[in-house]
Amino acid sequence: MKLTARLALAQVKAQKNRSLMTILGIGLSSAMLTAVCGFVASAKDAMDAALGTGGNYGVVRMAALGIVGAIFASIIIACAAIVISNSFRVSAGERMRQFGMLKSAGATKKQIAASVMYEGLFLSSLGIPPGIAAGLLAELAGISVANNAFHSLYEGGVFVIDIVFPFSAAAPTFILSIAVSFGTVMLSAWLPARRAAAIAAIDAIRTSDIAMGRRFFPGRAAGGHTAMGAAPPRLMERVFGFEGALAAKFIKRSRRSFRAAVVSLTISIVLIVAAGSFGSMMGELTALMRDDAGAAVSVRYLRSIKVNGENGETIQSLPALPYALAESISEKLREYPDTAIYGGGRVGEGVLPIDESMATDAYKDYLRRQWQGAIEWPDRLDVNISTLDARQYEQICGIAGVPLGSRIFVNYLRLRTDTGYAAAFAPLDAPLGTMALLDHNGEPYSLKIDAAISGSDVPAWLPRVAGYCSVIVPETTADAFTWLADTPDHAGFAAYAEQVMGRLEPGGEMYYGFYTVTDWTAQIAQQNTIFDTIMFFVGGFVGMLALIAVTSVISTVSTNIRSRSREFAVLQSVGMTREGIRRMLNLESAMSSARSLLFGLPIGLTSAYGMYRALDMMGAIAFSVPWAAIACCVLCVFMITWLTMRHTAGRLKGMGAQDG
Amino acid sequence: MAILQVQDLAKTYGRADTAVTALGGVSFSVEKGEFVAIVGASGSGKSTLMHLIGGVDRPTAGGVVIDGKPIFDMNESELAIFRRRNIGIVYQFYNLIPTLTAEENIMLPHLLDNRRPDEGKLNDILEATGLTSRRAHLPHELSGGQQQRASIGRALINDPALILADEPTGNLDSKASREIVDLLKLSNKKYGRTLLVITHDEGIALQADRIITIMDGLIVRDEGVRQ
Repeated sequence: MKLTARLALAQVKAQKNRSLMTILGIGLSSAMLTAVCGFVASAKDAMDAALGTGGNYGVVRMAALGIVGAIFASIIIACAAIVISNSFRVSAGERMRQFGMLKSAGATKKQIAASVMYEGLFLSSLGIPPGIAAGLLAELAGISVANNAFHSLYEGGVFVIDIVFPFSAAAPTFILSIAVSFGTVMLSAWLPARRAAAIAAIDAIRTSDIAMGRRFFPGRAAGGHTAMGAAPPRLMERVFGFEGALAAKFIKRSRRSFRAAVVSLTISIVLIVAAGSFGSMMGELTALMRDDAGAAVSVRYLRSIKVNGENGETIQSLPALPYALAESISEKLREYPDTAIYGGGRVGEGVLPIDESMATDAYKDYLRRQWQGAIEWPDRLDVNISTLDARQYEQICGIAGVPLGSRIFVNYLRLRTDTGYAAAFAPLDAPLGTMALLDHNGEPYSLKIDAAISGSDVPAWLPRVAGYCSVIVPETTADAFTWLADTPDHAGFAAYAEQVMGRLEPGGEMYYGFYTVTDWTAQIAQQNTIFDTIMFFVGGFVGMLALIAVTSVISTVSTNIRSRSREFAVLQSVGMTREGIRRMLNLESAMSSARSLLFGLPIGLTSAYGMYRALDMMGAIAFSVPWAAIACCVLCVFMITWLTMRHTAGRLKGMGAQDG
Repeated sequence: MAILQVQDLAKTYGRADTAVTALGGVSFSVEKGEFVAIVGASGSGKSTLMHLIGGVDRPTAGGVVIDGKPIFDMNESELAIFRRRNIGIVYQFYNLIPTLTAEENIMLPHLLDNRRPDEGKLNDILEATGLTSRRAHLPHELSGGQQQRASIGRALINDPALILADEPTGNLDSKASREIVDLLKLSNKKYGRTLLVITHDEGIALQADRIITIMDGLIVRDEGVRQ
């Protein structure tokens, strides 16, 4: 074996703990890269099998999957490079004296750089193979989860094709995973290697002396100044005594050493907070869907209209659903045992211009929040014109206290502002009399309102079949009709509804338009399946990246503690107790953890909010701070740093002052 | 024939107000096979001079010619290889590689060249340095004197034109110091190596052929020693 390789191997063996952590980091990043490569290959095979490879679609799919894979791989490579490069930087720093000796004995730059790169080679050969194996296991687990999810979605009718992801362990995937993993390690080693090679022989010899001196005696440097060149941090000294001042000095001095650990922890915190927020948003969206369902099954009918795509003109318009037919469907649906049916249809819509005197205080408050200042009057309120099936119409007339044939305004609105403020209220102060509306062409028309209901008088099902701020008119034809079914037998009722509505199908006996039957329970279960699958992958990805960061923390903290054994001995020799040293280390771990959190939490929350704004398009959910994720980050960061410091310091316990 | 020529060699650290002149322009030459001692107080510029002659540092002005080759005309790689093959350096703190055995440390210049030295020569040096029985030991398993002998062995292995020793006995007790001086003298007499030793020890200096005294970065005396 070449001398440079032997020296590298000796360094790997000498620094067992750090090497182990680096191997773990390399293994984790290799596992993640292998899993990503495997998922991409598997997804391509699955899509090719399901959709065929004809035309340009195969190429387009591969490109799209390749881009997604590259994005994930880039994140992994960036995190891994930060962590692994730090390990090589520390190692090269420790070997500086050795490099000085080698240089004075005639080693060239290339040989010095090669020695650092050999370290990368040895650590890669130890870390990558188990990493690849772990990656294949992760791929297998991921594929199994994805296949179960996709199959259940296929069975639920969400997908028309049963997509099956095959386990991909093809040679190109292997080669790519190994090449990318190896490339990441060598890239991480390259910069420290170049720096080590560039240092002059005389500097390598001198620097190591000075650096060692500084490391061992941080309070003193040439010229009698403190190593940090600043007065002791007075606040820390006042609050935590001399140990606090020393801890603050050490943290300030070791900024560079801790940078990689802080950066990797910060990235993990950002990802955990963002993932936590993403999870809670997904949960809220699912809950929202559950709320919206209100009933177990919904049946919707929509009138068929064919429109010329070029000029927007209606080519063919089937007649609206006759009220008698809608009513007969309601009755037919009610025949299903133990089932309550709430039916309502959309007749039309209009816009009501309202001035300040017409709006309630609650509506004004909402508008002020929405516009964040002065309200522009007149405001425009969207009004739905709706009809209800006979039984529901009778019920509403009863609530409003008016005879059948009356027009009833549902003075009820549920809205939210862009900033997340949500409220349900009556928007109009006195809605009775003649309501002056504008149609979709801006032409005025009026509707006489006989009664209004608001607040608790509005049944939960009403806005869901008739819309908010709706004028309920007596029996009339409707463009769209919705039946909500409250039934204990979701699947049975859904099948029954299909039969009932089948008569309206094209070619059926009474073709008017299209219908959908939605089993909300099944829909929510499918939603949960999608949610759980996404969270499995998000959690796995973030968790493994966090583990890489943890290896960096353990490696950095333990190396720092070990390199300061002489400093601790000196402190003990001048009278500092072990308790004092422990207190100083506890403060150091608290301060370095706080630093990661100081950067990570705001960035994580900003990312979470950005994601919220993007996802907000999907539903009316308010932004909520992911407290659980934040608490988890705070706890884990403090615990990991503290435990590592405590464990490493504990192993130095036996060292007395005389040993230093 | 001069194996070493030092020409107006100067070294200044820092710039402007903070500039410190470690070496103010010194010139001398050393004949092949000569044993020269360089003496001077701490901070006088002795170590700087040795680092410059050894090519581990670059001067602010002037030059060094070893065996007819101006070393600072070479690029860094050429200089490293030249140093490996033509200069042996002995430091006060031995500077052995802790993970290599005594034998490997002695062979270091050869190992850097990816070749093994002649076995007979290696044994000869191990015998001369008294390390035959300790050849497989790591530096921390050797005494200070043995470590320094290994570092002298390393300096000798390549038959260098010049051996530079910076306070080679500064870290040793008197018995070990005597052994080291004897070994250096042996290398000078038996192997005919040119020897440049920086020392505080008057006893060592007086065993040299010539003593160069440095003060404040300048040569203040250069005289032969009557043996």
